Amino acid sequence: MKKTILYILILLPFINFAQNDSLQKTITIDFKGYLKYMQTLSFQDIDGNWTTDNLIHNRLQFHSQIGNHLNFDVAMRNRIFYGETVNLLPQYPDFINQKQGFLNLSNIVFKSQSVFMHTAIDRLFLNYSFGKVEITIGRQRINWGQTFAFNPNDLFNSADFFDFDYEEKPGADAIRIQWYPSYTSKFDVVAQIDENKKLTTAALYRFNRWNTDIQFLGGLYKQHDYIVGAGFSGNLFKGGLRGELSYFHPEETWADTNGTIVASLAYDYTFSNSLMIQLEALYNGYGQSSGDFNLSQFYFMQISPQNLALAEWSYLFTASYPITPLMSFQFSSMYSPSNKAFYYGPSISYSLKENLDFSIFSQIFTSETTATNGGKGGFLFWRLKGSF
Amino acid sequence: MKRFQIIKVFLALCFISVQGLAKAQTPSAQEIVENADKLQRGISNRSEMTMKIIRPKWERSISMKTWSKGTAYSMTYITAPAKDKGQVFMKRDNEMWNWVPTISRMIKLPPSMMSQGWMGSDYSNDDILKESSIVVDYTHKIIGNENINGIACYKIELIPKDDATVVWGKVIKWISQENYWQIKTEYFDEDNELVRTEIASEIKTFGDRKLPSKVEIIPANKVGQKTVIEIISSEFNISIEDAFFSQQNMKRIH
Repeated sequence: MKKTILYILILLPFINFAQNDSLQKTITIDFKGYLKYMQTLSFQDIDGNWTTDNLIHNRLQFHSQIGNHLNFDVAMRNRIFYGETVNLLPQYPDFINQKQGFLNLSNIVFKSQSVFMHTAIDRLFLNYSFGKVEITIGRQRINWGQTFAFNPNDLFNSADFFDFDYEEKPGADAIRIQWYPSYTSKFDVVAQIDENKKLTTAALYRFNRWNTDIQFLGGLYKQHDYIVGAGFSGNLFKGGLRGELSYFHPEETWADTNGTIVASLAYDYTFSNSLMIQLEALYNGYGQSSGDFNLSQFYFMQISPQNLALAEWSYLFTASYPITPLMSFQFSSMYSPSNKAFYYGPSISYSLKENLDFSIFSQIFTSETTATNGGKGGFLFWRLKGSF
Repeated sequence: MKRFQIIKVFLALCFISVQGLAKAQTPSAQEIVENADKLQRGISNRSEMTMKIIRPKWERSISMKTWSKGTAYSMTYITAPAKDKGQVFMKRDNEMWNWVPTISRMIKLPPSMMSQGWMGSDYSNDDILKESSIVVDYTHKIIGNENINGIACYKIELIPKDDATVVWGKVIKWISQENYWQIKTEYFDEDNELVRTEIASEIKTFGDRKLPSKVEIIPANKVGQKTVIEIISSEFNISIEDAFFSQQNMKRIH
């Protein structure tokens, strides 16, 4: 409740300002969102015990344009969890409610033995633009990624490839200034503060040359590592060739340590029959070059540009194809030679009505480690999504 | 800015004189096609339209706002369906970007991705991007005069030039004699088989001109299947700066 009042207080001055200024009296408000139901079946061994979980997931998104220069955006995620994991794991609500970012914008609305509701605001920002400059303050998504699954250049709000149900991906609490010197180039300066009150300050310059978007970036990551990086998106044989590289060097031990490289390279091609394939490779200097695969360690890891995968090398293949105009099939698989872990995930999506989709997703993990030691397991999901 | 306005006036004057000339004498096939093309294209344009895919058992539609300047620059903002709303596509010369506001991502689209259609629409990407020109890429011949839905039309045969990258073997257009509306078009493949028919109807006034507001695209040999494009609003020769077609503006248009 206190939060609601706070938001109203934030909003009010702008509404007044807009009404008083005859030049900028236009306020447009866009509202959209969705309601999803998803059931998850999880297992270590498909012939063994299955766990059933349910999720009712609602998203509300407001975008308002106040006059010609000001935007205000709020988006929230409301989720109701119930099922066996809620019953078995009393810590589950706390796990879901882990602090994301400096501002405390999430809350457990209610909680009982079998059900709980979590609500989180993942966008809350003001954007002011004048001429070629744009200033954004608040929780926003700052996307410096060029490749699709692993983004070493995304310093502020890394997203988990396996968390497919979070389509919008997290935001970052930051102050950001963007300046557009030309129609296809920009300077971007960001100061972000995270949940541990650690500051990341970085700048990026992106421009377009030789039919390619090219970017260079540098800064201080979470007050402990200097980072320089580069990325690009271009064409090769009419397909898209993209790459990112980040080099981290600890600030404290600058003289007597080596830096670490994280890099990804990706290629995508769409055939004339609409079959699309994507290939992506990740080199993670922080990863393990050998060792056993552990599914729960993998699944629950906190993704960051310094922790994009457990393994040193990962290879991803994705193919998607519309079987009929209403039905699309997607297959993705990942392999890490470092821990001999293999992932594959076929999925299918069907458009039932104009704004109603039915999907089945799967995620199967195998490795040389046995199921009882956590080396194997899988998830089956089915989901109904109504968009408005 | 000033120079642009001068060029605009100059081009508009050229256009009027060409039309005036065309009306005084019997126009050539080339002139008819040119006039019809200019009428639909304009130097710059802002439109709002809906495309409906109709199949025997289902229907889906997509709505959008578009802005264009010449053939080099265009911008498209998706207004429906709900899950795609807010996506923006921009084309500058031969490069294309997609702004996805939900994840705040600017994606550079490779040429192969442009071939992806939307829900099996009968409207090809060549149509959307208008990469081939009915004026430049074909030779034209008047092959008769016919009435289509009560409108007197020239029947014109368009044969692609040898060096043109055109997917059709032959195109026949029925262009109205009075207003240069493209009332009907038949597209044939290289074996001279009819592939699809386009029928334009519901003439409405859009700014300085009258145009058909509805185009039905009917693929041959596919019963109960068609794509219908309805133009809700359209303005031609608007003043629109090059700066409009920028990555900065992609994030702001709505």
